[in-house]
Amino acid sequence: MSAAEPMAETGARPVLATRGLEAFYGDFQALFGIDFDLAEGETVAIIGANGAGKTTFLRAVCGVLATAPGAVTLFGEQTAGKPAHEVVRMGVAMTPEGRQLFPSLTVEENLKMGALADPAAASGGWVEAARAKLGLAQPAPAPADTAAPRWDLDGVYDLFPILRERRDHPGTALSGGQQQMVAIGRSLMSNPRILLCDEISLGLAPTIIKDIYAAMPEIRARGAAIVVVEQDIQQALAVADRFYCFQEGRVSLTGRPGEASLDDIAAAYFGA
Amino acid sequence: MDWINAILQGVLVGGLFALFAAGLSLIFGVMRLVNLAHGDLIVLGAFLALAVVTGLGLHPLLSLLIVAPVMFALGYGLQRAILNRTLGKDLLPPLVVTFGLSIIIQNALLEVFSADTQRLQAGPMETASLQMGAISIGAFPLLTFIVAVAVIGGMELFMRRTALGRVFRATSDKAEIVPLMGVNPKQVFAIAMGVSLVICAIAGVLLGVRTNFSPGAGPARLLFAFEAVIIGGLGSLWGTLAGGVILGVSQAIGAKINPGFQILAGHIVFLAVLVVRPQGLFPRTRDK
Repeated sequence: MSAAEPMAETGARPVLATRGLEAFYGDFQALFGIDFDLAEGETVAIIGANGAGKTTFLRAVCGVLATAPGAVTLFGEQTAGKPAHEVVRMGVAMTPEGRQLFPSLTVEENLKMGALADPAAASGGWVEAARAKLGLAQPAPAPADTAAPRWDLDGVYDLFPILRERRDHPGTALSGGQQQMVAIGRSLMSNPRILLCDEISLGLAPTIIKDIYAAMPEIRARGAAIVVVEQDIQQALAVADRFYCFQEGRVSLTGRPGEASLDDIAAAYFGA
Repeated sequence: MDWINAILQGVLVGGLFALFAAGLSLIFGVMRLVNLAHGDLIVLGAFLALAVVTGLGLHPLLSLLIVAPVMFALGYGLQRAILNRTLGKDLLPPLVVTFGLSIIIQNALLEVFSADTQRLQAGPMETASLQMGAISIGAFPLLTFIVAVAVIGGMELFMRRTALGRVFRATSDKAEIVPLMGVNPKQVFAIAMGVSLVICAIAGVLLGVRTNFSPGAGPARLLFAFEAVIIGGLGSLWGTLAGGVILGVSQAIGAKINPGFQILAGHIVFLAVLVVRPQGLFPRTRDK
C-alpha cells in the first residue's frame, strides 16, 4: 500500500508512514525495511530490546539520520533530503533519550527553546520565531483546524506544576523525573502533531514514571499523535492503541495490546 | 606613584586585549572552533577603517558605521561558505583552514595596502588626558576600556536576555540537539561569526588609533587574545575581561622593570595560570 492510501485498519490517513525504511551508521545497517503507520491522534508503542533499532527509527523519522526517497512520509509529504530542523518544523517533536536538556539554560529557557520549532510561529524560519519572542514580529496565526488549546508556558506548567516552581532553576539541577518533565514540556511547546518519546521512563522510579505517563491523556486530548519507545513492555502497552515490536532492525510483531499474548510478545521481543 | 600609573595603563590596555579575546571566545564557545585567523581579522578591520577614513574623510570611530556591517556580512558569508564545512568531530580541519585564511588575509592586505605601517588619525582625543594629582589617564585608553566594558556587558546582556542569545547558549551546550528545536545550527554559527567580526572591527579601529599597524600585525593580536581567554577561563565574558586586564597589568609591570620584559611578563603570567589553574580563573563553557 502506498503512503497516501487510507489505512485499512482505521480508515484515517496516516500522519506518519514509513515504507521499507533502512538506516545506517557508516557501514553498519541498523534498520532493515521498516513499514510503520501512525494515524492522526493515535498512540503507538515501539518495544524491543537494547539495540533493536527503536531509537534509530525515531532519529530517521525526524531527519537526524538520512533516509532514502519515499522511505519516510510525514503528513503526506516525503522527508528525504530534508535536514532535521526542517522536518521538526513540519510538526514533529522529539523527546530524546537521556532528556538532553541544555545545562546553561533555566527550566523556562529550555521550554522556550522548544517553542522555536512551532510550525505556526516558525513558519518563516527560526529567526522570525526569535523575533516574535522578542516582540519584534507577530507570530503567524495558528492553523484554523486546531480546535484544542495550544501548548504554551502556562499549559506546560499546568500539566507539570512542579516546573512552575522550578522555572528559574538550571534545567539540569532538577531530579531525573523533573528533568524528564522539562524534556516533554519542551517538545510540547512546539505544538507538535506528532510527539516522539524515546525511553521517557529510563532510570526513573516507578511512582515518577506513573506521574509522567499520567500526562499522556492530556497530550492526546490536545490532538498530538504519540510514538512511545519503551523497554518497559507493560508501561508501553498500557498507553498504546497499537504496538510494534522491533528485533534487530526489523518489525517482529505488530498488533493491538489486547490481541497479542504475552508469549507472542516475549518471543518477538527476545527472538526466541 | 610611577607604579600606580603603570598599573593603571596596564588595566586600560587590558580592555583592548579583552576586546581581541571576546570574539575569539564567542566563536569557541558557540561552535568549538579555534579561529587562527582572528588576529588577522582584527587587522583587516583596522585596514577597512583606514580605507573608509581616507576614502570618505570620516573620523575613525565613525567609520565603524560602515566597517561593522561589512565585517558582519563577511563573517556570515565566511562561515556559511567555508567554515561550516570544516566543522565536525575532528578539530583539525577548522584549525588548518583558519590558519590558511590567516595567511591569505595577510597577503591580500600586503597586496592592497603594501607593507607600510599605518595609523588611524583620531585627532585631539589621541593626546588628551585627565590629570588626577600625580596620575594622568589618557583619554583614548580610557575610552578604549569603557568601550571594552560596554561591548562585553552588551554581549552578556544579549546572551542572557534575548531569544537569539538563548539559542547561542543552547548551541554552545548541545549543538546536536538544537536541530530538534527547529533551529539550523549552521545559521547560528554564521550569525555568531558575524557578531565576532563586528567585535573584531571595533577592536581593529581602537587598535589602529592606539598604535601603528601593518598587514603582519595579526598573529601577535591572536596571541594576546588567546592569553586573555585562557587566563579568564573559556566561555566567561567577564572572565575574558579579567583575563585581558591581568595580561595588560602583567605587561605594564614587566615593562616597568625592564622595557624588554613587557611581552615576556605577559607570557610568564599566562604560563603560570596555565600551570596552576588550567581551566582559567573563571571558566564557564561546559565540556560535553
